[in-house]
Amino acid sequence: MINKLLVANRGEIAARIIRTCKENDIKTVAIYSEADARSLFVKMADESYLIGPPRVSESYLNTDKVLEIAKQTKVDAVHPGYGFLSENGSFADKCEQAGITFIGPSSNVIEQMGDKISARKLMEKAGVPVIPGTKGEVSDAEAAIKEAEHIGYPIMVKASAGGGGIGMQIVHTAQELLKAFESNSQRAEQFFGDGSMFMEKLLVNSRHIEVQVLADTHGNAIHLFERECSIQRRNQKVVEEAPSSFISKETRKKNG
Amino acid sequence: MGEAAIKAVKEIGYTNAGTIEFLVDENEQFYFLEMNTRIQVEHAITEEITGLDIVKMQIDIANGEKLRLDQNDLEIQGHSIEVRIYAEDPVTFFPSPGEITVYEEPAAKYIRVESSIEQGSKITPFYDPMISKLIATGNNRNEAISRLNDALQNYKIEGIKTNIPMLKEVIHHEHFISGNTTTDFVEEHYLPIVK
Repeated sequence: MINKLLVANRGEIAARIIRTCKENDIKTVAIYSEADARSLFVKMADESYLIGPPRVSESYLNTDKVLEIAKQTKVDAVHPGYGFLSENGSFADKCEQAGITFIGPSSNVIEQMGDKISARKLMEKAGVPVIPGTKGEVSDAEAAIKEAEHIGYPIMVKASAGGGGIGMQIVHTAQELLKAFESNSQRAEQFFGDGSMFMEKLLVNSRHIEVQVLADTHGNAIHLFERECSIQRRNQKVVEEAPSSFISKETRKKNG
Repeated sequence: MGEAAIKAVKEIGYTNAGTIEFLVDENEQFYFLEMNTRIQVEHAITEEITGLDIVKMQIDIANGEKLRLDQNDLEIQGHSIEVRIYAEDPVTFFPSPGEITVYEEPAAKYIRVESSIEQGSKITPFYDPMISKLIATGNNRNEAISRLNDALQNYKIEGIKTNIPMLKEVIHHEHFISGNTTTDFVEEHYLPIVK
């Protein structure tokens, strides 16, 4: 039973999680960096601990420090929110090893879906349509140019480990592809320690529509319909709405 | 899409809350883009149209409890829109850190604001510039837009620049009002107006 929970995040989402905990008599522990000492979520939590300097690597991404505070404060669970440690499989694993529940899926599922090439393969296997593109990893720029002829330009070049708009680029010609492949692979290697690349056909005039799912540990799963998040700037969402005004009832329900 | 999402979840043995992102083309053909294995920034609009608390459901699932709802129990109630408030220049999108000298959230029954700031809060350059989320819900999309418009007029943030002027432009744009918003909306319809 979760009676005390550490929120491994900051800002509005930390405040949001603490609110639900208060409504359900769950004690909360907040962690904060020096830059956030006066943020509201720090005051809202039952206990708050300074975790380090503003830099995320020394504060919100410092897994050892987060775990140390979780153990000291004897929490039952850690809620990672979004961003920071939320999709860090090894952190989820370390929590479980310390006997602390990580609120999210298992570490191996986090890793499988975090790797975009492996996620693509799993979806194909499940019979979920994927964007026309390469089967798996593309070994080098030369191979990319060959495959691009089959896919057809414009193409989205993507890093398997990419995220937040890093490691992806639209290309219209083989020349652009040559450059983009190398530079994005290098960036992905730098940022994520993995330069594996793949390609997908660019879908023009497409909409970004996502489905919220929830699954329990007994094999039951439901979806809470869709959200449309088409208005973005620099690949970051700005306006989101639910339901989508674009898709029909049939599409909303559909299997694939 | 719902059934495809469930199929995906079952295939990978997923547990807890997650989001499957799709790209949908003009013919309503949808394609898997990626899965986010966590709660999303925009979860609140789903809560508003289902009456559920997703964070509570996450905790219940982590406790080993069974889902209390069946797919057939669920239906969409109304329409909800969220806008993200960023501390940034509304035209160049450059971050705008600083101290918030005036802060007043719009208050109404169908308006929800998620933030961790108050008057005197300092926005530092160290983190994502999103400082709050404004969520408006209505019985239908038009009502949600009109309530969102009122709320944006009544949201006072001074001392730093925010994208509120941009959001006001966007929600008044004919393509937004007609629901014709593809992923290139900002480049196609917003930037040409302000630049």
